[in-house]
Amino acid sequence: MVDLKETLLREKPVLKKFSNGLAAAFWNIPGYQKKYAILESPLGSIQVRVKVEGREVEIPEGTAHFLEHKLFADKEGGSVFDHFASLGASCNAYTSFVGTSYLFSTTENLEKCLDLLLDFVQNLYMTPESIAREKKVIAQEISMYKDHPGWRVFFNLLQNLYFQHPVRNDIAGTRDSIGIIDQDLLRFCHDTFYHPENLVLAVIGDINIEEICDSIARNQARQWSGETPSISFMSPEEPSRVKKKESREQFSLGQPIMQLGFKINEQPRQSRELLARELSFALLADILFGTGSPAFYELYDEGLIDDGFAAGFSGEKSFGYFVIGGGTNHPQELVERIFKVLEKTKKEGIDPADLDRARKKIWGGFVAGLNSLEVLAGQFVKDYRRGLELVDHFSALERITPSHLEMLLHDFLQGEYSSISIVEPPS
Amino acid sequence: MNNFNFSRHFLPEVGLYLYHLPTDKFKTNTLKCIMPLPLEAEKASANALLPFVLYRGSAEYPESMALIRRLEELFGTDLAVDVRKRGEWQLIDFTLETVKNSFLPMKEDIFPAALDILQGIIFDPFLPGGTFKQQYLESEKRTLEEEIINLKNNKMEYALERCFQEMCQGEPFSIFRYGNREALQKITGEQLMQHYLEVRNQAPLYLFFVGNIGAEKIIEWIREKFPPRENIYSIEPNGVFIPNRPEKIVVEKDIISQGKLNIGFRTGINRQSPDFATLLVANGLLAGFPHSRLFRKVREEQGLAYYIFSRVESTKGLMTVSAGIDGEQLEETLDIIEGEWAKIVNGKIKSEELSFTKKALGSQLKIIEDDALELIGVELINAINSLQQNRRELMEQIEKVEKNDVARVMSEVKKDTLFFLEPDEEGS
Repeated sequence: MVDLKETLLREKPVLKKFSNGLAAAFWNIPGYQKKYAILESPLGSIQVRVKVEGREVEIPEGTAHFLEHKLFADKEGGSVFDHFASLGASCNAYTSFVGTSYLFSTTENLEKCLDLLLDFVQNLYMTPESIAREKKVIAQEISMYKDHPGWRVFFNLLQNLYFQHPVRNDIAGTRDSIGIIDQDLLRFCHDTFYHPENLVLAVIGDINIEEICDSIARNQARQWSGETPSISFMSPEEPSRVKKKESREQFSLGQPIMQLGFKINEQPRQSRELLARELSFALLADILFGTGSPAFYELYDEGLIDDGFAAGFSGEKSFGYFVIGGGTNHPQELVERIFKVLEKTKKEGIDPADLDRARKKIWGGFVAGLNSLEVLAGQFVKDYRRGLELVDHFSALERITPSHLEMLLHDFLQGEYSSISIVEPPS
Repeated sequence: MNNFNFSRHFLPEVGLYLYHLPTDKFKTNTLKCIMPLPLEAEKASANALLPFVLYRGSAEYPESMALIRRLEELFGTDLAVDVRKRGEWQLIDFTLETVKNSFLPMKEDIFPAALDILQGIIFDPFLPGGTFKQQYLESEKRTLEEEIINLKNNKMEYALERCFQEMCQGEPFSIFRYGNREALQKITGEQLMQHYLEVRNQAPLYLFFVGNIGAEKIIEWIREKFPPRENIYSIEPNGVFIPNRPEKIVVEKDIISQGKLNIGFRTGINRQSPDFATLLVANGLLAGFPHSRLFRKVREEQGLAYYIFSRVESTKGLMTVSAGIDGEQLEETLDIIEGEWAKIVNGKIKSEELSFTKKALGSQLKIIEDDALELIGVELINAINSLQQNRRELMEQIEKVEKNDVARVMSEVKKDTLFFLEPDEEGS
C-alpha cells in the first residue's frame, strides 16, 4: 500500500524551533477557508506530582483545567473571547489527561490571531476576585458533567481500576480540590509548564509559512522566557490488580449503562510500541465487538446491546485501559457473554481475513479523518510529543499480525484485571 | 476553483432531486440521501423505524453482518442511518462516505459499489415471504424504544425537547423525531410493509453529493440503478405564526446536580422572511457566541453558569435560550436575561458587539466550505424551505443589518414557554 503513504506524505508539515525553544509545525493546505492553530502545554490532569529542579511538588486535582480557564482573562480583566471576536475569529480550549490545548479558527487576520493566542497563553493575569469567580463557573462545569450518566459510568470505572494513578480523577477536579487553588500555585504551574520550551504550536490552512514564521519570531522575542525548568512527571506506584471488581450507582436515566474495563499494565516505554499497541487494540476491538463481528448482531438480536455498544483502548506510557460496553437491560448477562467471546477467540485465534478487513476499515477511517484541519493538527501535536510522524501510523498498521492480537488477548484481557461499572435507574 | 454552490438536477422518472457539488478538496466522496416525510403523530414512529429496519439487510446482503462486512471491505465505507427533524418535516437520512480512489492502494473505484449497497437498502430490501424479517423488526423496535427512553440520559437535550413539546403542544413540531413508545409498540410487520410501500412509491428523494465524480456520471448510475417512480409528492415550506396567549411556565424535577433552563421564543421569522438575516444577528448578539451579551453577563461577570447559549430553529421560526445553573439561581439568571433583552429592544447595542457578531456569522458561513457535510446540511435546509439562496447573498444581507433592525426584530420576538428541569433535593 505504498501509493497511499506517498500521497499522504505530500502533506508533511514544515517544522521549526524558535530561538526561545517554542516548537512549531506549519502546513499549507490550499483551498481551505479556515485557518486553524493549536498551542499545547504538557500540563494535563494526571500531572499531580512532578519534580521541578529536583524539588517534588504536589499539584491539586483540577489545577491544569483551572489554569486553562484562568488564562482567558486579559490584563484589564476583560475576556480573550472578545479580542478574538474583534478579529473575526473564535477560540476555545480543553484539558485532557496529558495536556492542555488552546486553539482558534479564523478566516482572516491570521497573524494577529496568532499574536493573541501566544500572548494570552504565555501571560497569566489574575486577581483573587477573578479566581473566586472562576471557581463558581468551574463548579457549574463539574455539575454539568455529573449529570451525564455516560461520564459517571466511565469515571466510576477508572476509580474501580486504579488505586493511586491520577487518571482516576475527574479532569476538572472536585469542588473541594479546586477550593485550595491560589495565585501562587497557578503562577508556579504557568512558569513551569508554559515555558516556551514546553509548548508545541501547530498552524494549518491556506497560509504563507514564511510570513507567519517571521511574525511568530517577532512575537516570541517579546515573550518572557527564563531558564528552562527541568521537569519530570512522577507516576505513582500502582498495583497491577484492580481496586474494585464492581460498582453500581443509581441515577435518573432510561436504561442501565454498563462498562467492562481491563486495566492494561506494563505499557510500552517506546513511542512506536505504544502506537502499535493502540492500533492493535483498535483492530482487536473491531474484530471482536465491531458491527461486522459475529458477536455484535447476535447480542443485538438477543436484546443484550443496542447500537451504542462499543469497545476501545486508551493509554499513555503510565496507564492503559480497554473498555467494552454501552446501554443494556441485562448488564450481568452481557458481561458473561463478553467473556465468552474473549475465551472463544483465545482458543480459536484471530482469522487473518478478519484482520485484513479491520485494517482496511481503520485505514479508510484515518484518511477520512484527515479531511479535517483540526484532526490533522491535533494528530500532529500528539505525535510530536511522542516523537512520531503521521506516516508511522500507516507503517505500524501494516505490520500488525494475528499473533500480536492473540498476545494482547492472552496477556491483558484476563478476568483478574477487569472491573465492571454500572449506572442504573433507581429500582 | 469553484464557488462551492450546488448544481440542481431533477430526474422526474425516478422522483429524485440531485444536488451536486464537484470538488477535489476532500479525500472522500460524500453522498447524503434524504426522504422528507410530513411530521404526523400517527406516522412518526413508523417513519422513524423504517430506515433502521431497512439497514438490516438487502436482497443482495440479507444478513446484517454480511452487509456491514461488505462496507468494511470497501475501505471502511461509512454508511450512517438516522432520522432527523427540521421544522415540521421528519427526514430519513442515509449518509455514505467513501475514500476517493486516489487514496486507495490499487486506485479502486469503490463509489459505484457503495451506491449499489445504498440502492439495495432503500429499494431492494430483504423481504422473506414478502415482508420484513420478524427478527429485524423486533430488534429495531426494541432499540428505537430504548432510544426514546434514553432521551432522559442527556439532560440538556431532554430539557430542550420538553421545552419544544410544551411550547408547540398540538402542533406537529411537538412530536419527537423518533415518535413515541406507545405507537411504536403497536406497529406490526404488515403495517410497516404497507408504510414502506407508500414511502417507497411516493416520497421524493433528495440526493446531495460532494466529491470528484461528475453529475452526468452520477445521473447515469441513478437512471441505471434506481427504480422508476412517477407519483412522488412535492414538499411545501412550513408557515410560521405567533400564537396569542400568555407565557407558559413548566417546572419539572429530576435528581440532578444542575438545573437546565430553556426558554422558547416565537420569532415569526423563517428563511423566506426578509428579516431572517437580522434574526441571525440578533441571536448572535444575545447568546450565539462567547462574546455575546448573555455569556458575558451570566458567565463571565456573575459566574452563574458554565454554558449559556441561544439558537434559532429557522424552518419553524423558533429561538431558544439554554443555560445550566444552580436551582436557587433561577430568578437571578432570569432577571439578567430579561434585562439584557430589554436593552437590545431599546436599541442599547454597541457598535463593537454588532461588528463582532457580523464577523462571527460571516466566518461561520465561509468555513462551511471546508466540510462536505456542512455544505450538504446548508443545502438541505434550503431544499426543504424551497430556497435557492446562496451563502454570499446571506452574508451581504447580514452586513447590511443595523442596530435599529435588531431592536425592531427583537421587539417582535415573543417569549412563549419557560421550561426548567430543577434539581430535586436529593440531587448532587
